[in-house]
Amino acid sequence: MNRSNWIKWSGLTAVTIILFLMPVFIKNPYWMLVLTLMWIHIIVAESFRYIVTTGEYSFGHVPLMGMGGYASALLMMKLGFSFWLAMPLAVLATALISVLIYYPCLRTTGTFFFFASFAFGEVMRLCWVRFRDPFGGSGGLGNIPRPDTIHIPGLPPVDFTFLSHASYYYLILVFMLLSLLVMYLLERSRLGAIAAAIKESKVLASFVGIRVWRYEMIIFVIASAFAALGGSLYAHFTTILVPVEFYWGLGIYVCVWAVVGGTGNFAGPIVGTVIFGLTREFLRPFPQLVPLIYGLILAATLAFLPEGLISLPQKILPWAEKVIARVKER
Amino acid sequence: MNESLLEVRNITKRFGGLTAVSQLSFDIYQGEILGLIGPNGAGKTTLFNVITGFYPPTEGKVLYKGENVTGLKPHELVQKGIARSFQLTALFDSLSVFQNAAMSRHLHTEVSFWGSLFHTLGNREKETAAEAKTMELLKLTGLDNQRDVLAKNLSHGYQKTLNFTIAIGTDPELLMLDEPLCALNPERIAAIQDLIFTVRDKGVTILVIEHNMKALFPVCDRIMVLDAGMKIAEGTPKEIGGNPEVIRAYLGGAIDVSDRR
Repeated sequence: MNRSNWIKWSGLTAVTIILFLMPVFIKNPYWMLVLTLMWIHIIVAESFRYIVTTGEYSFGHVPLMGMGGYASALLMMKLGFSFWLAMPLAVLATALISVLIYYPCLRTTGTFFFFASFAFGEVMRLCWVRFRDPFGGSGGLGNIPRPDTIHIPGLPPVDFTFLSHASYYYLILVFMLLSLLVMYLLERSRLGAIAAAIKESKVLASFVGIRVWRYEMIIFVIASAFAALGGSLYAHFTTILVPVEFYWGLGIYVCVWAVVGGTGNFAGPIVGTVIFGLTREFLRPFPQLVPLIYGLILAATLAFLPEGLISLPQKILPWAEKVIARVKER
Repeated sequence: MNESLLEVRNITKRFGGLTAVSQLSFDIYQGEILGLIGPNGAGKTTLFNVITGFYPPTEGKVLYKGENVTGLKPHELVQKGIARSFQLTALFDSLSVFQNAAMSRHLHTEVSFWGSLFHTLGNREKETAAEAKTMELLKLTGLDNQRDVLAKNLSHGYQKTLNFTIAIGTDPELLMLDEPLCALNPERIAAIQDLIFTVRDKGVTILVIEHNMKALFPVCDRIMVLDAGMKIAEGTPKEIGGNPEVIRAYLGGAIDVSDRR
């Protein structure tokens, strides 16, 4: 292992330890909620970026997150399943539905793909609004049960009844870290190399023997599964699901987080989500300013850092070196 | 004459009212280099696109080794051994030369999904073998000393060479080149001509579309001339160079066909 790899991995380990110690330092329950929600948003933004690695922007992604939430909530509420069964089933169901949705969408590319996926997202949202049974109409679902208590022999039971308990924070943190690990490994694998080729040129990719359509489908289904995981965690965390939460606006927010952070880099959406999440919290007293500030950050990033905030160190370092060299000359 | 590798039978391609290729039949024989010339709009590229599965023909069929391959998708044709290069250079722009060439080995890289996910030991061996193969390929086309340059930063001449490299990286039996020699300086032309001979000597059959007659004639065993979607002549470069109908329709004057070999 070379030096830069060593620095990278020790840095990641340090960050992970800090994340696990967060509940010890942060006593304010409100901030625990903010962080927990942010981890869910990171899963969604990172899986959105996973779709972007093929060069397509899907606006069906956030509705698919909602699909995961509804599926998991209904499996628990109507069929009495345990959370630990309902969640994986919801992920599986959403993955299957995403096959049906992306099958027609994949006949198109670029702007057309964007609109096709947007349309399917709206269809899903309208289904939740129109079919009062079982989705609860525009009022949505309330009183969604929390995950069941885990009993590990010899340890006190881990229960998720109260949000103030750090257990919910840890539950979502663990799922976020696992999701990021899996998506990172997938991107570094051969599948990631194929996605990069498809993004560059679908035509050339097909002429080196890549079945473009199949690989895109595999990637979209994996990404949708992670969106569903995020949705399921979200549903049981907030205990309320309302169709309007998954409207196109949230899709645009997720896209903005990923793009501002930088879709070219794995860490981009994480940086974007954290920065926008914190910005929103600090602007809590002035909610009317939030869209304005978001827009300014987006415009400034696209103008000055087209590769996203993640490329900021690369841009600043040569400039800083120049300044240092000049100071030394004097 | 050798056996036919590709048989094109009565291919017609219409776009609305426009007939781009009409009732065209020809054979490509094992091991030869066949040139395809014709004025702009003669249907050369359309013919390429029909053979390589880009669009289905309106009528007619294409047989490869006696098997009907009409309307197969590009990735299926590559599996059977038909590769092509592109007129307007198509590359994986933001990937390095090495990554471009490595991607062309897609069908010949046996990396298991789980192996590449967890970087297993067995997988690392396979990857090293694949890398060696890719380097061999780059050495053959003379791009080995630019392996880490991004494709989009290469000069035009080397981009064409890389396009060529990707096509032969798929280990084709039939290589179809769309204008590999146009808009190049004499040095790159000579390099690509040599490359065409090298690839042929490895047993690959080649079909070339080209506008640059001077560069094309010395390379080909046989030349076919298209005009308005129809075949107007077929023969050795010498015969074509002296064919009065071809000269009138297209060449506009006698040309020098001195043999480079």
